[in-house]
Amino acid sequence: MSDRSHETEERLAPVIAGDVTESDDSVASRLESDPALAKRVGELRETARVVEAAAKWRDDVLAEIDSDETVPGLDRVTPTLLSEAGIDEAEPRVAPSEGGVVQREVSDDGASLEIEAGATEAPSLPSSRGTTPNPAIPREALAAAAVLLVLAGGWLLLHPWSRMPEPAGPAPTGEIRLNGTSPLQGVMPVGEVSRDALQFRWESSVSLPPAGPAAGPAAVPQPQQDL
Amino acid sequence: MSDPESDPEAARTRDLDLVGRCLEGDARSIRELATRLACVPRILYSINHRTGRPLGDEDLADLSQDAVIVIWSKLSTFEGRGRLETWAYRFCFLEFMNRVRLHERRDRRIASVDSLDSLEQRSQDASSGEVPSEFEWLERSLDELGPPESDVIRAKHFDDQTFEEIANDRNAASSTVKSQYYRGIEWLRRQIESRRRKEER
Repeated sequence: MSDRSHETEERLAPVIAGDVTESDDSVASRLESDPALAKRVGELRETARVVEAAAKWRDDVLAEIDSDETVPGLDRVTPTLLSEAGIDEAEPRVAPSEGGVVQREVSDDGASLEIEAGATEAPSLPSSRGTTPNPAIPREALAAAAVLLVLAGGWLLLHPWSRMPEPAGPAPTGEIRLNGTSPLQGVMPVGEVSRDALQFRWESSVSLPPAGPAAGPAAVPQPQQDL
Repeated sequence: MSDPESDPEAARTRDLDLVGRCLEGDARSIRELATRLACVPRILYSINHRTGRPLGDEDLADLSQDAVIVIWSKLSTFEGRGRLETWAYRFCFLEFMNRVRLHERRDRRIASVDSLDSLEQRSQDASSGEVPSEFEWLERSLDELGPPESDVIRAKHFDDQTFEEIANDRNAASSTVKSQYYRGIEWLRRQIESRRRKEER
């Protein structure tokens, strides 16, 4: 680039930027003598005005952001930034005071919390397994629920169902016969397996039937009888 | 010692220090940065308001998150030439314009199967605010232009610095800075001309 054009740029830059107007003596005579240059300067000044307008628009926007008004997304800024930075949100927002003893607790799910000695109440740690009482549930309600649970268990233990006597005499030997309406139909290919194959014997595990041929069909072995 | 609130230079230095500590992973500084970046949803809210509210509250909240992520990823490019909020504005503005464009495309798809009445209503809504497409174009063009010319133009018009101040910041001669400014504006003028020709076609 020639010294002359460099000098022209240097002299015209303040005019284009609006620091110096075209009517100032320092440039007016130069532009009057060179219409092509004057036209070029006019176009460049227009371009600079676009930049100025964008800057003013930005300044107007920034002038509005100092208010305390709650706007959408305000509550998401800190969690998003801490997440991006890989910082645990549970960490203390303010460093412990000088000389304070810091105690670190770790919850079931690994979340950690530092508690400064002397604090009147330590915040409870989050727990995924429920080992720490949820502060939202009153202790009285938890105690009442525990009592009800014990009472219900006792009632079930003492109920006649749990003390039902064993049936007298030999346990019945029965057969469960699966037919076409059995729920097993859906998983067993009944059409391909004979129905006899689907018959099986059920015996009580408590008492054995008396030995002898009358105990059941000879075709079905009675292993415990042989013993 | 100068007061950062009243001294722009001290404020910029303080912001640059803060960003430096954040990049080193200092948790306390990152929390301080989070407080400062409360400007992000406010900037987006203001832009949305000025452009006729093309985005709803939920979209703005989502956009705030995205803008914070973009700003965090670009943090290393902060050079302290302006305040942190001023620097963050560019990302907010461009992210906002991207989101509005996305919605306009989506609305056009919906409009193709929508009733004529609602189409007219949306058209009226869109024309109620000024979407500064030329400003967006300018921001992107300055990015394309690159330093040192784009930096000088930003410093001159966006940061209201004199040519002498810009030269001092860069340890350069004032004549060099003026020449860079002239060439940058000349490049932008050609871009505007080319853009207008395309629009006419």
